[in-house]
Amino acid sequence: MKLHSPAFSKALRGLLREARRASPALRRAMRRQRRRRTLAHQVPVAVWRLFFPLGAALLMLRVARAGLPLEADAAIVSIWFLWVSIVGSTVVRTQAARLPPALLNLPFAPADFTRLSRRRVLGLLWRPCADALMLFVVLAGLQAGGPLVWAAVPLLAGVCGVAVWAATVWLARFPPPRALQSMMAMLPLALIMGLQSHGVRVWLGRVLAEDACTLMLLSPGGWLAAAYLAGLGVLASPWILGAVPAVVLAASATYALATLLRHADAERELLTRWLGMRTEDAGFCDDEGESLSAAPVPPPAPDLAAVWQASLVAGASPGWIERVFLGWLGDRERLVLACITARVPSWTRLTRRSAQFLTFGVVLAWIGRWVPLGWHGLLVWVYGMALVIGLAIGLPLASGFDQLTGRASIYGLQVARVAMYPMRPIEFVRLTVKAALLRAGFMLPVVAVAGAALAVPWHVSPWALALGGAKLVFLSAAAAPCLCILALSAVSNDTQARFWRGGCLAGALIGGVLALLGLAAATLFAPAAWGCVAVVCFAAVAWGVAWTYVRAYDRGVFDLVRHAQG
Amino acid sequence: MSPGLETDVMQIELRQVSRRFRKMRALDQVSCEIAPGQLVAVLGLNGAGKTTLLRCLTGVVGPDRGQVLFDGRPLRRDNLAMRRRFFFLPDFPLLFWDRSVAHNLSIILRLYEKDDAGAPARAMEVLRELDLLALAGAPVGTLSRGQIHKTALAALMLVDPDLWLLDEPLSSGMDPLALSFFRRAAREATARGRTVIYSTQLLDVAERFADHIAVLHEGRLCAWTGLDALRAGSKDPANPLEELFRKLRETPA
Repeated sequence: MKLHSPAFSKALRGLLREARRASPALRRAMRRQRRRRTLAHQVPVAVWRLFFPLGAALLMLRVARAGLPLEADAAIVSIWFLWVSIVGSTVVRTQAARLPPALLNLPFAPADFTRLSRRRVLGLLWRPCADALMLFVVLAGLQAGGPLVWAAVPLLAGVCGVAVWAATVWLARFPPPRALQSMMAMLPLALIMGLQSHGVRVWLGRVLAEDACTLMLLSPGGWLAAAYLAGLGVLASPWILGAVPAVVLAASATYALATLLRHADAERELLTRWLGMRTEDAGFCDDEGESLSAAPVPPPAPDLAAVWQASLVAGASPGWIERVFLGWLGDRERLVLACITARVPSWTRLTRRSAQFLTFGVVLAWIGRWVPLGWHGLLVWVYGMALVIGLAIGLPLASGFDQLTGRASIYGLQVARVAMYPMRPIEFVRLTVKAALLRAGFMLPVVAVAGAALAVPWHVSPWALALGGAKLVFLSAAAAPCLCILALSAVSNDTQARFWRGGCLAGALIGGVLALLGLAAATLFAPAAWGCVAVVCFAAVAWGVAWTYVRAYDRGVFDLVRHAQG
Repeated sequence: MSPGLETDVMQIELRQVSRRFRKMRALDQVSCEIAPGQLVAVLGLNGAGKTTLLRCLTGVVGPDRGQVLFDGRPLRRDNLAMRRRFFFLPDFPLLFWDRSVAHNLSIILRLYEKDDAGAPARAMEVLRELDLLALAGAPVGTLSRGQIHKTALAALMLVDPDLWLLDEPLSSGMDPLALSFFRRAAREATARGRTVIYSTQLLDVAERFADHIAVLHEGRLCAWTGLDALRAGSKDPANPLEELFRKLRETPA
């Protein structure tokens, strides 16, 4: 179903072309008004999406090069489609239930919503099909068989795509637990990080080699891959039966879609009714006469004086870091803080949680000394992730000032709130730096102790690890001005600044960020003396980047209003 | 300056202000001087440059060429004292959505350093006039468009800056009582020496509610005149603006 009228669009385009040809003035005006399309518009989504399964394909090639059997590759296909089904189910659910707000005001029948949803969900079918085609091509290539081996690939890819799509639709209707969805969403990141460790690579290789047959059962992609390998004689012939449940699942696709759409319709009806009630309850009325004749609302006598005297920044039960932070701020800083956050972020809780994760990681690292060698890779993976998560939530990498980048979108333009009121970006930078220093101060002993405690299982000097931890904390705090500026940059139009100054600013920012990355690496890996020099340079460059940006902001080098999609 | 004006008034000057957005000329060498105590209506067809002019006056958008001068000094974003002398009420106000109406007023008044002891009493009065008292405790994000606009208008009135800048306030979804209160307050403000500049498409309103008219066409300032002078030079004194716009449309670019 099309939302527009193709015949009308075509006719209108023709008429416009004629009018343009007839009038040079109109031609000039059209040229003047032509909007440049961004790269995202120029390159179809399909092209971007095709890059996704490349990771899995590369992993399959790497596994084959490592000398693992073909079953290991089939297991990767299975895991990939499990991930696609679970993560994709959220997309399918959204597409089925989304109610385009513009249509609410138009004469659009409920049945048309259903047709529109069906079309949108069906529009996602090509994705698993394309994935399947790519992965089965790799599988066939690894087998290096004759034409028959290749001939089966398109058919298998088609069945696999439809089966996976059906599984995704079923999962959209009956969603798995949120924890499982979150874990699956994190899987690629965990995999990429885990593969950096030799122990994890060895463990993963062992699991893929020994438990490939179990892993192949995880998703329809795995069932079909197993059937394919059985057909080629790589696996025992009973595995060919794996195609049966996949075909059955593919056959259930229509029914799955109908079930999902029925459910989405019911939800949408509830939503529409709720929206209607809400509008009536709030007394929103465009009828001026009715507004005038309405009885005056008795004032509930709000205690404005109390609002005036109360602290502008609320905090349910601020922890000690938050209390120290608020005590450190002057009146003006508290006011600026109120503009960028409704309440001080719970840094104390984050620090405590970070300490818990780090402790868990350290304890697992110590336990690792008594764990059998075969399980060591898994242990390294788990405690590695615990340490990374602990550092990520504890270090002051994000300020938590949720409204720092507050903006309003209107008619395709975004305007930063910062632009509207008498405030300066340097005030935000100062606040962010103060918060970062304070958090870093509290994190420093935690990270240093965790680093020293890891020294024994890692067989390195406790002093070196404690120092490494301290460097990490320092770097995260020193990066604060630059991170604050990058956040502000997201709500300004600095990338399209006028004249050559725009190019200079962009060059300075990109150069600054690259220099920071290089200096961070030097800080962590260079010998102690050079590391100290790099630390000082890092702080200086971070401040330099912030200073350059603030100066350009103050002098009006760029606009504070930007196109929402650009 | 007419007698009775407050000493804290602002002289505004636009000197050859130009601004392009890629190939589109939004403002083209706009020059004018706005004396304190004036009520200025900025008119123009869609895309004529009205909003860009207001944004240039506030520093949200910078001119490619030319200068915006307040009391003879160029506007800089880091000059907070200068920025506190104007308040821009855009087409869609930027407020703190998760805070209440009262909290929003509190924050804005403090930013403008107008949170003196009398501020709460003044706020009560303005909220009552704008029929916002009952909503004073409601988060702004839950209000209708008109109510959000009224909240921002309340903030503007309480701040009472030297320069009021409003983008299409008369088509903002505010109810008739709020609009009439705004018109009254704007007249009183100009009597105190404040300058009020607003953009609008409503010609009949502009004819009645302005001392000075600025007409923009394709970025150029085509008319910058008092209403009496405009009427005097028009063939149709009853509808001088309509006649002007008809002429503009017929004039080739």
